[in-house]
Amino acid sequence: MIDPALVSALSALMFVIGLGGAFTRKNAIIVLMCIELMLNAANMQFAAAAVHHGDTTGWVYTLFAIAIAASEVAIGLAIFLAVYGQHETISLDDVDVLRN
Amino acid sequence: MKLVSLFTRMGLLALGMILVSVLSADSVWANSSDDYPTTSGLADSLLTEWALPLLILGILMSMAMIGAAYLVRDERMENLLWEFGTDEAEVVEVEDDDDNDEDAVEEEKADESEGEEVVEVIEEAEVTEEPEETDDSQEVEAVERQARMDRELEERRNRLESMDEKTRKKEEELIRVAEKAKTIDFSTLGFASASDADDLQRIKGIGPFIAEKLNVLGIYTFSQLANMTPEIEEEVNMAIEFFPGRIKRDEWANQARTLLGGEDE
Repeated sequence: MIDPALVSALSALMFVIGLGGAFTRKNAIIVLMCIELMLNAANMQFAAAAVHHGDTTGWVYTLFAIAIAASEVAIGLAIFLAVYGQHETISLDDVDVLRN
Repeated sequence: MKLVSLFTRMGLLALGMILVSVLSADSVWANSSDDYPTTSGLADSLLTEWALPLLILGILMSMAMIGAAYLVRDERMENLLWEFGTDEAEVVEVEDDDDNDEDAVEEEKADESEGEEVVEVIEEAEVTEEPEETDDSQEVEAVERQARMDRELEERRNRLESMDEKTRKKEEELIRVAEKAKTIDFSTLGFASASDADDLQRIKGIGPFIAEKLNVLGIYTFSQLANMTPEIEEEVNMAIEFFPGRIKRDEWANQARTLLGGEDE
């Protein structure tokens, strides 16, 4: 079995990569993907902790987080589509006001 | 700016190192449990202990999906007409335009003969009314302009056949727009041609495709946009199949006036 410490270190790396992407990228879709990466890092951490403690609660949390992430992505992409319809761009530098 | 980005990167690197070192410390992973969580255990806890949260999660997800579907609904004119069921004849016509190439060919033929008629009218006008040219020159000009626009329309139609599907769809939309040019009162707007075109995309709310649609409609300059009355705004809005009332809300006329003022100074 894989050592939970290794899994958790990998999840820390994933989180930092996601954080960096979310800070530095301008394309809204890449930012969304980076947020997803951070969520998945948290999921891995949950799973590792569940294995370590011998408790299924961590897995349940992971499942919930996955489901919430899915609905978040659906809404996020829909918003980007609507924004694209209005501004004809999804570069976050150009879309800086909420009013049309 | 570069300094900020460098600082961000350094901070992220530091954060990553701290996280990894904390998480891989032996003390965190000491006294691990002997029993290992099983899949059947997961199923058990999901359906007993976590049944209610699971239900709430399901409701949340379906709400999110409905919301997403609502956000991405297509607001184009023809779809709205279809949704409201106001003008069925027109909707059928629009659908025919989209689906039936044969119809397009027939229409093309009809338009061809129409175009010839217009040319004949011009020739007649030139022949019979030469002495009073100053009075009627405007009228003749208008007829000529009409003929020119018809010719452009024709060219676009002919080009259709040599295009792939995507550009064809776009082109068909442009043709639909161009056909509606007749409904717009250009005597108020003023006439312009491609040679004195302004960069319409400087107006907020006009992108490349909308600018192209305005051009095929015969709108090229800021002064034309500035001359729009509320009724004309509505007509143009309909003609370019834009979100209803959008031209008014974005105040294209006002923006155009501002841009005109800026150029004069």
